[in-house]
Amino acid sequence: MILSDSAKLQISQTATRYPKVRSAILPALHVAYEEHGYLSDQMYEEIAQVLGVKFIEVAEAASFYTMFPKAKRGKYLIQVCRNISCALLGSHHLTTYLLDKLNVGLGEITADGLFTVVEAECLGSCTTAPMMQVNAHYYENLTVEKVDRLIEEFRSQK
Amino acid sequence: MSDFNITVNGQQVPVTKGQTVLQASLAAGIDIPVFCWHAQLVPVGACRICLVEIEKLPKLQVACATIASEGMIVHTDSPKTIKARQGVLEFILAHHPLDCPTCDKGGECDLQNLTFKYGLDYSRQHEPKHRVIVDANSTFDDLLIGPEIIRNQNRCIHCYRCTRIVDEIAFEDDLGAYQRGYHTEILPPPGREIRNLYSGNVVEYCPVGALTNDDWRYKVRVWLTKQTNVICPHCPDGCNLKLWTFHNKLFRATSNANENIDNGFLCDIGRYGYRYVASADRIKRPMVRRAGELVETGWEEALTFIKKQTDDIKSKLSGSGFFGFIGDIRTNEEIYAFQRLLRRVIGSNNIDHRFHRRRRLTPGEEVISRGIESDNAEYKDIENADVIIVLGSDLHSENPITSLRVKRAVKRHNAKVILLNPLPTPLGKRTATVEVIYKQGTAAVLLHSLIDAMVDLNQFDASAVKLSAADIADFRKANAAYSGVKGSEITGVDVSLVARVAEMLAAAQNVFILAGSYIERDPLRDSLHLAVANLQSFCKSARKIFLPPDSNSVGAAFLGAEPTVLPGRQSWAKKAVCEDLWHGPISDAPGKDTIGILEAIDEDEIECGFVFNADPVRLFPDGEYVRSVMEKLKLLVVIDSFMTDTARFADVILPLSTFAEIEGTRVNWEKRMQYSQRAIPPLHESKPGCQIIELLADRLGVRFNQPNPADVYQEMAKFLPTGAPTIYAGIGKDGFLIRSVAANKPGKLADLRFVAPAIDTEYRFFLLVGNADHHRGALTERNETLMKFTSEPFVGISEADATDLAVSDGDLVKVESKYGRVVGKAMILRDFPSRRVLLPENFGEMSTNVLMGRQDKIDLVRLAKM
Repeated sequence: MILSDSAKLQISQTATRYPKVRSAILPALHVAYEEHGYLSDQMYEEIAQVLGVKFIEVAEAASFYTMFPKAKRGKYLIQVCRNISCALLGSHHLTTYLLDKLNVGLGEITADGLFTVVEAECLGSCTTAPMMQVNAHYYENLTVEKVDRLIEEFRSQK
Repeated sequence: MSDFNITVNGQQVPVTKGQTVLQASLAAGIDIPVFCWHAQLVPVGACRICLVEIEKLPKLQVACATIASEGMIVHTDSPKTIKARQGVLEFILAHHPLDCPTCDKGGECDLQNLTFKYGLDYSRQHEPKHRVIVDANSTFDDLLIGPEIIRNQNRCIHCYRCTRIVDEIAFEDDLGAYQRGYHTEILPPPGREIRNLYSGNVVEYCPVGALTNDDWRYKVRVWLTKQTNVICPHCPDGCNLKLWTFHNKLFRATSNANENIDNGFLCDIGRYGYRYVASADRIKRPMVRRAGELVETGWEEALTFIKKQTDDIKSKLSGSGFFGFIGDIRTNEEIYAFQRLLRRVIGSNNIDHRFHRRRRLTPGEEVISRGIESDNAEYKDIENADVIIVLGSDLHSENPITSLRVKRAVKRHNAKVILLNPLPTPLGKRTATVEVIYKQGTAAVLLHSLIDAMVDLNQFDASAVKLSAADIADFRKANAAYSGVKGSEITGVDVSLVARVAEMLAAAQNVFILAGSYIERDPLRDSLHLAVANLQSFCKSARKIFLPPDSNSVGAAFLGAEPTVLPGRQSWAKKAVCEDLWHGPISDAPGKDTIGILEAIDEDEIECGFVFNADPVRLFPDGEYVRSVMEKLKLLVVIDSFMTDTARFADVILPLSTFAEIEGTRVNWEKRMQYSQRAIPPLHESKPGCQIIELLADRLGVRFNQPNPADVYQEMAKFLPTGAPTIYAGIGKDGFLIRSVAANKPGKLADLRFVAPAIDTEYRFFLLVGNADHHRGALTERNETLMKFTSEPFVGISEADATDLAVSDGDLVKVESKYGRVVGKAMILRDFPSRRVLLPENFGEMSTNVLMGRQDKIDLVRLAKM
């Protein structure tokens, strides 16, 4: 058992909100992700059991979306937008800067377990490019200085 | 009946409310290209190739998912739609490898054909194509994802037909689509394979070469093949197959979709079943026993041998010294000709096809249990039912396509499915609303508990039920010992569960009862048939089907393969009709059935037998007895395609052609007679059944001049009900339904006489016989493809018993009865009731009949770890 009882309870309660239990798969995946920061086949199986759906349905849904990674990530998942508006305004430099600063490769976890940097497709915030998403929040109109400040903030919060 | 019209390409097209633009157009003969759409699947609109222009709508619409509404003006071939389809194809082809020269789908590929029709000769895409690499050292990206299925992800166009078939049609979970966009991968769940009983369909319905079959791959190009339409001989469902041949060699089987029956889907047993035809084990030439050894010889020598031997026996014992067994998988023509050979030429009425039968039954029960007097009902009636009862049947393994129809009723019409079985079956997992497991041999009691509970609810409509209150009261009183708590003690089924099922039945408007092999094998079989009829009386518009054991059991019962009835189930009074047609007298000596025949051999009254594609030694439920009896025969002529257990006792073996090498008709459980074409000429020196019978008849003194099934059919048709086609050409795609006038009328309520099966303290386990995964009957073990799915027999036991006996999966276990023993590897079955053993009947190395005694009503065994 990987998922906690409270997570399972939350999942089964969520399921009652939908006419078809299948619809509760995404909210359930969010619950599992919040609890562990990543997902695994074992978690899919447990979600399938709680909801009474097939394993494959959970696995299909989870693999469709980029926000349900199957590998552990840092506490702060930094997704740097790399699509056209951000790219024109230097998002590639930002990514390289972040990787050098944190001394980590793309998609890896920093030694202190705090950060993972990945590139993301358009996050729909082109007017404020370049931008990045850290966990659930957008950080926009970025500059190197702004990124430095943010990283310090995250480090201090731990 | 159409509700309104729409205009498609200027043509008025009638529409039934709820139809999509695509359905209406196709029905009117207007072609719209599709990839992801399939008539039997819910539309998803994934591929966009069916885009059409609908006036007053700003954008093009997908025809497959747009419901037609009154006044729509649709254009399917306007410049705008053509351009859109070109665009769709350009996108689909952007990451398609275009490896057509090495792709098996070439020549029958929807993508190839539509590109040919609509595609551009250039692409604006210059990005490298995405490739899912399976093996970096190989140019080919093929991945084996199941015992028979190979995936090439690069060719996939993401139509999701395969995953939808697995999910919507088969109710299985062993294939899914992971990720999205061009990263999408079709894969089974981690650590598993796609190996469900319907897995072959995903290949047949893949519109491109992404999923291919191991048996067909790289062997022949499709445009060189010839197709013939054949009826599957593996079970009484009667699915329509298309056999693909090249230079008289079989290469594959696909569905020849028939909406009456299979809706275009096949089970793997039917799809790969044809492979036994070319098995190396086939008997290739006639054989005659000389100095104790069977040696190959020619047809002439074998026939001369038979003639001489039979003359000797006939002079001594007359016709009554002979018998004939014929297998239920043969065609009607062979069955008819065989019984004619026995009755007219040899002069014996000792003929039977029920050689796996333990006891005699009264003729009434007999015809019911063979399915010949089942109610008049068809596949589509299953779909119209709101409650479906599956009684004593592992429907999934025994009637896979009937099982699909039940699933369809659940999916499309929210039908409720009630399983009443002595063991858990695969249908219980996702199809059943309620699964009830009763103690072996107590099904009749369970049905009466159910009726009693229904009366308690008092919900049923007395006028529909047509029973008087007094009748019902009497019936309850007489059967009080089998209801409520008392009944529950006998059956082991909880009272509340019985009440729940009774509630569902009482509320049902339309009940369909499918009774299967565990009813046939039930020790209280006679009471059970009455109990089913009783239950039917209490349900509103209920129909009952007793599923016949083999593919043509109904035909065999109908065409005279039983001792006391003439073809057409005519009584002896109609003998003159036969004598007239058969140019001479037939014997008046009453014929013996299987048990009578075996006993007569034992008492030296019968000395010669003709066994036609039948294996009583393997199947008669007393292995030791039937073996000792076969030893006593002076002459045993076996006509078969394989060296069966019975053939080992033969004095003469004549090689017989299989279903693919003969034409003929077969009757499925609906009593639908269908015509099956010949796909290839007889292999080796084998001959088709009708020809062998003609040769024998001629040699033994009567010439019928009917060596071909078509000739036999013309005579046989005289025994079919009025309206039956008189020649093969008259049998269409719908076949011919042999309807029974006596059916659909529940009889009088009958009382139950239940005797609890004796409990033996030494032999504590009930023996249940079933089918292994991807096997049915005895033919499937000759099939190398099906053997990939399950290759050896097993001893199925419950988790509790496994713990008791300290047995783990795969341990060798000895199963022993008073009569004999078998040894096999243990398979621990989850949710399996304790004190029961499940053995598959599909493997020669584990003959279950050695554990059985012909006098016993129930089979008891004991278990021990080796």
